[in-house]
Amino acid sequence: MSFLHTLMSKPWEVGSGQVIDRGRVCSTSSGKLALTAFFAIITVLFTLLTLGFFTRMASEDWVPLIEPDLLILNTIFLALSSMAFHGAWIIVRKQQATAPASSPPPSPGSPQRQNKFRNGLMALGGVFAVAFILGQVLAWQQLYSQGNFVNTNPAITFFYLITALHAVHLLGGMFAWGRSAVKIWYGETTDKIRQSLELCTSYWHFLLMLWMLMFVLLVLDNNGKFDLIAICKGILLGD
Amino acid sequence: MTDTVTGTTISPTDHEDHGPTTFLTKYIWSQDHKVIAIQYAITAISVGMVALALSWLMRLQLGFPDTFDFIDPAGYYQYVTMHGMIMVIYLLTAIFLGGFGNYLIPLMIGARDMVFPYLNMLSYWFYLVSVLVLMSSFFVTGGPTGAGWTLYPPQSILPGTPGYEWGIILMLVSLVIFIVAFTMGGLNYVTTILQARAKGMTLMRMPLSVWGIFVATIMGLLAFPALFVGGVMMMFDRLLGTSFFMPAIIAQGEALQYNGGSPLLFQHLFWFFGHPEVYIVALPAFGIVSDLISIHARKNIFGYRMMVWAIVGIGALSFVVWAHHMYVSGMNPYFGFFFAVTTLIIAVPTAIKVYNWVLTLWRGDIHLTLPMLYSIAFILTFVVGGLTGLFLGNVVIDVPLSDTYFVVAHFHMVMGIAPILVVFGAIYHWYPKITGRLLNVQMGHIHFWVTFIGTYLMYFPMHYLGFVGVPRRYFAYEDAVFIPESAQTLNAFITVIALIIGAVQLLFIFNLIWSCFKGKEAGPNPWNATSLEWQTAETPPGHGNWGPTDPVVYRWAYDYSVPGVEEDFIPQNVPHAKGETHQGRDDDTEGV
Repeated sequence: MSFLHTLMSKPWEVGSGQVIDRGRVCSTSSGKLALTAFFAIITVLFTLLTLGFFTRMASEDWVPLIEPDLLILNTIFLALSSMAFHGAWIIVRKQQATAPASSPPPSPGSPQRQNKFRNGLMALGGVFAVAFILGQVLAWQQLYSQGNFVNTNPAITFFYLITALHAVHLLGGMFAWGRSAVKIWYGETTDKIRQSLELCTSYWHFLLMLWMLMFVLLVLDNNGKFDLIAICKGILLGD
Repeated sequence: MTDTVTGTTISPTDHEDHGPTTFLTKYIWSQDHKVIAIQYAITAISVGMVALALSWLMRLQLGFPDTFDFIDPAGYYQYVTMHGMIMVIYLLTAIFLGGFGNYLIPLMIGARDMVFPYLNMLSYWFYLVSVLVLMSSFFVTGGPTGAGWTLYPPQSILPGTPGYEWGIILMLVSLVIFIVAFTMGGLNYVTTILQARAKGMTLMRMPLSVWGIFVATIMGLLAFPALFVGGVMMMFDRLLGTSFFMPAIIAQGEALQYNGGSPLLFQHLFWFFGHPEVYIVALPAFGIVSDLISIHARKNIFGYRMMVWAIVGIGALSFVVWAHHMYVSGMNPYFGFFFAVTTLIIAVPTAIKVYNWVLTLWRGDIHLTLPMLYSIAFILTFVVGGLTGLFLGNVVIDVPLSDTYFVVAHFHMVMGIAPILVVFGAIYHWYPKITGRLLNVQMGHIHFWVTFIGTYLMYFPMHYLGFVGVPRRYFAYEDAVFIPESAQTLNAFITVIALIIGAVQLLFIFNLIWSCFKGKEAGPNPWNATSLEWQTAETPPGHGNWGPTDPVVYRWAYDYSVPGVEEDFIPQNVPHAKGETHQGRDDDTEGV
């Protein structure tokens, strides 16, 4: 039943909703729904940062920043991390399709190899994510050693702020990754591992997409020549 | 009848996976939504009492200037700032969503708890930490920030503003922690409402309280990131010397390190959060008051569907009105015109709600219980505050009235007094479910009449002060020749009334504590209400809320005075009797 259709129903009528509603709007797990809502919140947060970036970019003291090349390598790390999670998720989905949900992960023979491969991919996902964060820290260090401090000019400030906030979100994801690892360690059911991995994978994909957008934003910096910036400035600052 | 829980049997383990076993897990580190709700409410009321005391100090200075040596200009600005921020964020937002949201959502929709109980517990503890961080600013060098609750840069982080040293930092840190807490709680509320309703509880059978809390929570989740971004950026400016919001400034003959920042950018971010915040507080109040009116007038709510649509519509529109707080900021006049139009448009669904409340009362069997008195008081106060909002929503009227006491009177009526009247009404209404006892009625009446009449005695004169041009945010007006003598007399009068109203809140707190032990036994459903929270097997509800069986819902929450039915209410979990029809019921509802 669509949301609009729901809003049109007449609950006071006898017989309305005779078909017992299950009390859920969708069959998606609560975790996935909450994660989707969280994506919306993060999107708003980074959209506002982006608007702030464009507004500030229009000011005269904006000095374009030449971003460290290391960011490209970091992006590859994050993409590999995301792919590793995706691979692990595909395996666990296949495992679930072939085994009853409540049973523990099968151990002998080929499934055992599958488990190892899945766990290896998960570990790899975490390692690449750590590599990404360390790479970002290294990029900060490079900028810092070039005399680009956080208050040197607004382009650099935004660089530090955006990369830091993105990294904080990834660190939050590492906590979830750790919980998934614990579940695997304690031999949880395939179903529980799948749920956990599914959330991790979605989160990693989202953070990868977000990072790529932010990366584009950061290198987009062209010293305020966009008409869009003039428009933003006109509207927001009344110039 | 009301003790009966009609439903399906579930496995006992389904609701025992986070059952408390020790004192610590039951009352301190509790994951039970009811305990968390009470923790939220007690913390919010406690910090609200601090804000109340601060308002007394402000009023003492305004009413009797040059009388109290312990109130200096810096202190005055600190009282104003902390009073505003605490009341809006740490009291009203927290008590409506953390308090009522936590208590009512699972009980009203027939769930056993929130879907993420652990996250819910974390939400409260983060909230408590945010409160403690904020309160700690009273004890640091320089005291709390005196930047005004809007924290406008550049003055908020410049030397000379009270609390420049630590106060502003602690304020920003506290807000960031609060937003993290709210996000954890908010994700829980939304997911629980969408995914954990009892069988048969369609979205359109939910009581309006739940609808109000639901939409307000979504708004909060989308609006608070703006405050988060603004807060973090300001923290960068204050601590790291960046210039997000700080323009080039010369202070005491010396150029500061700041350059090129935009104070207006902060205002946009702040009000992109700040205006939805008004409705984050108002929508739960709208929902709750709808339920109180229906229950205590023994009549189905008029225009249920339209009430839901109005809540959703107000929620959406509230994101495109923010700049009406900024008409005097120097922004583009066309921008102001746009926001004046959207502000007038949002008055339409709001007015629909007011009409529907009045039409629900029309020919109802009105019981003048305390919740009903507070509900009627809310409608009157909200209408008064809303009408002055129409003045301020128009650019040409707002400009001369901006920064006067007219604005102070307006926003206190519409988002201070009106929602707090609903908080009181709701506490009188649900206290019996929370404690099993009724609040003392005599004390309640004293509390109501003094609060209600007092607020009008306090804020009506304030509108007049605004019209004669008395500016807000001033410590003293001694040398202002344009302010007549009568304005000072009125200020003294308002202060006396404010002190009396404040004192009667202490009576309310006493009533809360006294009735908990000595109050009259309430029974499971003292108001003969239909919604699910009154149909629990135990009062107060035990862990898991519903005993061994989940409730099943067969009807909406407003089956009061149904023609042909002996009782004047039919609980939501009672199946339709054979041959029961809606024919003969008031046709009022059906047209909408």
